Amino acid sequence: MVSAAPVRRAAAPVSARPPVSSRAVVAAALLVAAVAVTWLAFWWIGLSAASLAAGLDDTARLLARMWPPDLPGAADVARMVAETLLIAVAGTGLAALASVPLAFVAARTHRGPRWLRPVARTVVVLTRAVPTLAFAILFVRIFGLGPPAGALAVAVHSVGMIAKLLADAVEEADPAPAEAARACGAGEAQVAVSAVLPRVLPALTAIVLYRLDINIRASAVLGVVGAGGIGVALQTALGSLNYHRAAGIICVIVVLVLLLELLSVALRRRTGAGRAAGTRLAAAPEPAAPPGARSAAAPGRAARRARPRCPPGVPRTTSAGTDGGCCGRPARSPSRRSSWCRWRR
Amino acid sequence: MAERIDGEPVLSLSEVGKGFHGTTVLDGISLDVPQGQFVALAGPSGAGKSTLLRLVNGMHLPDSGTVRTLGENPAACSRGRLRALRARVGFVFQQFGLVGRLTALENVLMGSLASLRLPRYGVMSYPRAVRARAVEQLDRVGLAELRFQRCDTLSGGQQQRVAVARTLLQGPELILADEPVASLDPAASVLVLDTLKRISAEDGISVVCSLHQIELALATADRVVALRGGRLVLDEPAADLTADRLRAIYDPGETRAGQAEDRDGQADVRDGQAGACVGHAEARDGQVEARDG
Repeated sequence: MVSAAPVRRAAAPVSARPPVSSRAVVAAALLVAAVAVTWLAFWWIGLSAASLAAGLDDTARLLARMWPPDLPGAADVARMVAETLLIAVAGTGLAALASVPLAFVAARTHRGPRWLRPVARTVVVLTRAVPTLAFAILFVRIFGLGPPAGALAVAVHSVGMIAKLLADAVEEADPAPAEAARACGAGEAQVAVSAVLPRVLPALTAIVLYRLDINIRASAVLGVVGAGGIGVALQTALGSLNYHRAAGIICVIVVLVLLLELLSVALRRRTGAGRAAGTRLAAAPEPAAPPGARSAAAPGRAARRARPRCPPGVPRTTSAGTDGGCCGRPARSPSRRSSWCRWRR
Repeated sequence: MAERIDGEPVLSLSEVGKGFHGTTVLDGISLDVPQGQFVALAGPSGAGKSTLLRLVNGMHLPDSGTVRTLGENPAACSRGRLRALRARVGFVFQQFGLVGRLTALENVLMGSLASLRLPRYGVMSYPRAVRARAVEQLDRVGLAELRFQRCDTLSGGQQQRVAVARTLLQGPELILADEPVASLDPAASVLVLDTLKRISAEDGISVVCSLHQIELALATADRVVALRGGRLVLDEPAADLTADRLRAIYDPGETRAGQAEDRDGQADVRDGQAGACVGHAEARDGQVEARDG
């Protein structure tokens, strides 16, 4: 149709209707299927305009009973918030410790015994698949009510994610130092700690801080199953039908999460992570970075910028393996550069 | 650990062959390197130079023939023994293999990992004596001043000398260098090669160094070995070679027949070679004594 257009220019107007492609048909079919499945789900679980309308009265009554919110005393709030934060910090710390060796073993670059890698991968997948709340229910049965169960639940679920992202960073890291260390006769553990860990440390910091952000939110609701934190107070208030108090605690949780969000945005702006816009943390938001990261990195960066690019007359190397680099700096192709490298080298 | 018998070559390859994915990279390479000799390994890209060097410290294993490095056969070594062997063989890479985020000193310290049992992180986790030796080696390559500077702020030539210092901290008996100056500017290349040459002479360490720069190879090495298409096509004392003859190795127009001729002529040279090499080594020893005096 399109190719014939110039010839028939003077005659009938050129058709503006695109040809029907099989892709468009499939896309339309998928959209119809999605709508149908959603409607089926509504019908199955009994979600309808009528049921929502019926719930409106109850909602109004509940809100009336909640108003005005009854905030707990400042000391109580501080204690509950502190406990929530500490559960997240303890859990994240534990997870960070456990995930470093796990990540090195799970990475494709691992050179140790063959059977270790599938085992590590399985641990990573399993811990990531089970939600924190499910672990919390389990651990409350094992270790009893209270923050230890919550911290452990947070830790176990975080191990999977931290190890997965760190393993990606390990695989992305320049293999040359590791190879050099192996050529020196270093053992695998030594290669990992001395040659690779320094390289992925910025990535590890970013991942752990990002996970801490998630874990603080998670630990706010852990108390609902009795695993400590501010959720315990919420559960107690609801259980004793003290709706004013429950509303007050929900307000505290909302404020806490908002403040954390503001803090992480401020940190991100300070560390200049925004400059790496477009980089993705495994489809997750940009990680919050350590407050001191920028000042620590600044001298090195400045020095590198100040260094002359390449003295004139220096021949570009042509041998295989040094694609266009000069003066000892390999020219990396953009695709080889991971978001981790760009984030902070 | 198998000790090398006195007088046995530091490195000995006999009829070594190696291929990757069905492509032959090295074919029937035989080569002996006596102690203290500086051997330049020439040849066009893809001739098998890197593969040859990697066969020596067991980073690759040969498909046929045998490699004997410092009296050991890397192919027959257990993991632990191979590590022990690698600790005695320094390896200098074209791309340095340094961790850019760490200081020069910490990168040098990595050379001592084989002699330490546990993983180390940070300069202070290494024993005091090792730290002192690391600074000494950095001083030998002229970089003691820059020991606390991050490696990614050093120039290419400085980075390569840090890599040489790391190798020296191993206390190697043989240094393999895989195009150590291919990504450096001419001045830095000369400096790095001079450093290697000086160390080879001072400590009596054998060096096998692959090089593209013909003039540098002739100026630095005691002996030049050239590969082409995975075969050894030239093996002569550097003093007997002219730049033109060596340049012919790189000439893409040279026919296979010409190569075969070269190889036939080569056999005669190689027969006389052992004596020539020994003579060369003696001459070098004399030099060292003269310097000491």
